[in-house]
Amino acid sequence: MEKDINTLLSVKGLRKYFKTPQGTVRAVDGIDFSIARGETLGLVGESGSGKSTVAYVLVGIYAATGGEVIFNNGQNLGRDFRKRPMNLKKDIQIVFQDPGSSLNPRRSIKQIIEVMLKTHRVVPKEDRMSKVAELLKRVGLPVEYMYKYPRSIGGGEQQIVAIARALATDPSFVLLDEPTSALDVSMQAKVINLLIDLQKEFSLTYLFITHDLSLMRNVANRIAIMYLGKTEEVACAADFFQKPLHPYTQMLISSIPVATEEEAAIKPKKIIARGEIPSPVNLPTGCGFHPRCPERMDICSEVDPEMVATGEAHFVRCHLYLHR
Amino acid sequence: MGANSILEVIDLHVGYRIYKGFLKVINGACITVEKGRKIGLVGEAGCGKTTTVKTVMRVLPIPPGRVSKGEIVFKGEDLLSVNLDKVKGVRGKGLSMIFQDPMAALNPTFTIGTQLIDVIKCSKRKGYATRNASSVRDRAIQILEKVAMPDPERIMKNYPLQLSGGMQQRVCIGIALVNARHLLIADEPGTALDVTIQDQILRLLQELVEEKDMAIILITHSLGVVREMTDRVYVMYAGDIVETAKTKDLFANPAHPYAQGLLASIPKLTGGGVPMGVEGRIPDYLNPPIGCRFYPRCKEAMSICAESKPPFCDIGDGHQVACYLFGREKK
Repeated sequence: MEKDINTLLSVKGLRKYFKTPQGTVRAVDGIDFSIARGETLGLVGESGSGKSTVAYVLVGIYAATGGEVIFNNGQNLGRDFRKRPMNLKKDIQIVFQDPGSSLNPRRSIKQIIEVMLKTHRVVPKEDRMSKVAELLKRVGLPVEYMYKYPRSIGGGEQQIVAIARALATDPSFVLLDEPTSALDVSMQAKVINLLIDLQKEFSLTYLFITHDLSLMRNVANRIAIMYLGKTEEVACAADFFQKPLHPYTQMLISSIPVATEEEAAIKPKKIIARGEIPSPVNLPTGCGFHPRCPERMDICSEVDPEMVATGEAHFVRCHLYLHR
Repeated sequence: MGANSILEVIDLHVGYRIYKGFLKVINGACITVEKGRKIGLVGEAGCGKTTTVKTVMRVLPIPPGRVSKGEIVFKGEDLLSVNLDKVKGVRGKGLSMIFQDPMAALNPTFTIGTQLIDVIKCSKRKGYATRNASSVRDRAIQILEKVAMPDPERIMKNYPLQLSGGMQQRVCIGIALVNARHLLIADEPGTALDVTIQDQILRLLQELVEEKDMAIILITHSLGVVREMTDRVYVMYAGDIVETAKTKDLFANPAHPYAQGLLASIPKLTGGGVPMGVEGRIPDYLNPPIGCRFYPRCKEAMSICAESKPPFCDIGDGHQVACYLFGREKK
């Protein structure tokens, strides 16, 4: 992953461990990926696979234990998150999963959005009000919503406010941490369409975290699958569903309940999902997926496989493809 | 009442009394469950799916809840007229429910064993509840084995917190199976879980239901789950059943504008972009629209829609839809 002007963010060997009384939790254990400008990278995985931890490290909530995060070909963002310059904080914004808990219930929507304008000195004091109105208008909420409180509007609208807040600082990179998993399908469709429109209009780059693969198919350009703190497979969205390589990816895709016949047809031959994600405190030896893998070999429990390229922009980390 | 039907919900009206007034939530729901059938109940959040089944189970808190009208007939007995002290006996005759969040359904201060044994002891199933401690324990272990729990002996001694979400849900299914012989109500059993775990839980439910020839009401907002699991679907919107059909018919040919919108708003695995959702929101239950509750959001609304509630209209093969678009065509 060499430096080039098209790459907005590149992550190399990123690790984040948490020390707990039960032992060290390896939430993120050496992942690599890069995101091109204007691209949407989808990050998919089960709960406990470390997706959100990645987002939190990127936005600066946690300092990384190791590895590097290069944003805009600049300095390493992984460590010293307290020393992260303001202009970088301004450039990387996040939308959290549950809008009910990410918006302060005691602040009006105007106050919630104004905090961003104040902290980052986006507009002069006297223009703040009109900027808030402009933002609300852009995301399709009535301007009067300024004086409402998060509790008095619906969940979908709350999430739209959270999106307006993330956009307030005019960022170039937005992390979306399961932005629609708390919403209904019809509200989800609305929020996603808004996000796609905004991406075009402000040339945003998204890291879209979700566990909903069918949503991912329609939103992301490329998809990375995470399992136990490691990426297992990275590929273009279309490729990913046409020829999933990793047994875990196949298991995931075959577990999705689908609503039409054409969709059922593209699912891989039913790989029965079994077992659960192991605790990240006691990681299995070798490949993390081997206890659940239907195609495990002897080597899987001993050696952790390396990431290999199997096609153009298609990477997989599995012994099945390593010795060919 | 058909000879085969085990549960019939007839013209059910349920509401909640709150400070501001009376929330008219369930507005004349009719559901029929026949023996061994798999029924799906779908709709957006807040459209009254859970309220309906909680009323059926008689676990709806009253007050603030209030059943203003309607009948719920389970095996020939009107559940709503049963005294609350006796309702346990009725449930013990073969009616059970699995709740959405297994974490909240299990008591965190008792072990899995204790909770399972309590249910077995209270069971009204003939010859099932015994005073013999060791045979009750054996039954509990059998149940855990049935729901594919690894190492049931150890799980018996565990507290709910020590288990993962999928395992907790298996325990809840086990507890529900103690009594369920005729009807199992599953309220979003996989929603709180990951896809691969959800797949396992749903498969387990399907196997158990088929093995025991039980009927199941599966509540979910995932249309994919409904398509793969059920024979018949009821689509609910704002407390009204707006459409019911065989699962295949509904997916091939949704009739009600709401059902069409709901089906169209699912992102497809085959790609093709994210469709627009259904415009607008669920109405305010304090002052719901007088006619069809969907008409403020409906693209094909007519003047009659605002005036009176559309009756059910059969459009063939048990496919019923409550919408004036269809009543007119027939005339």
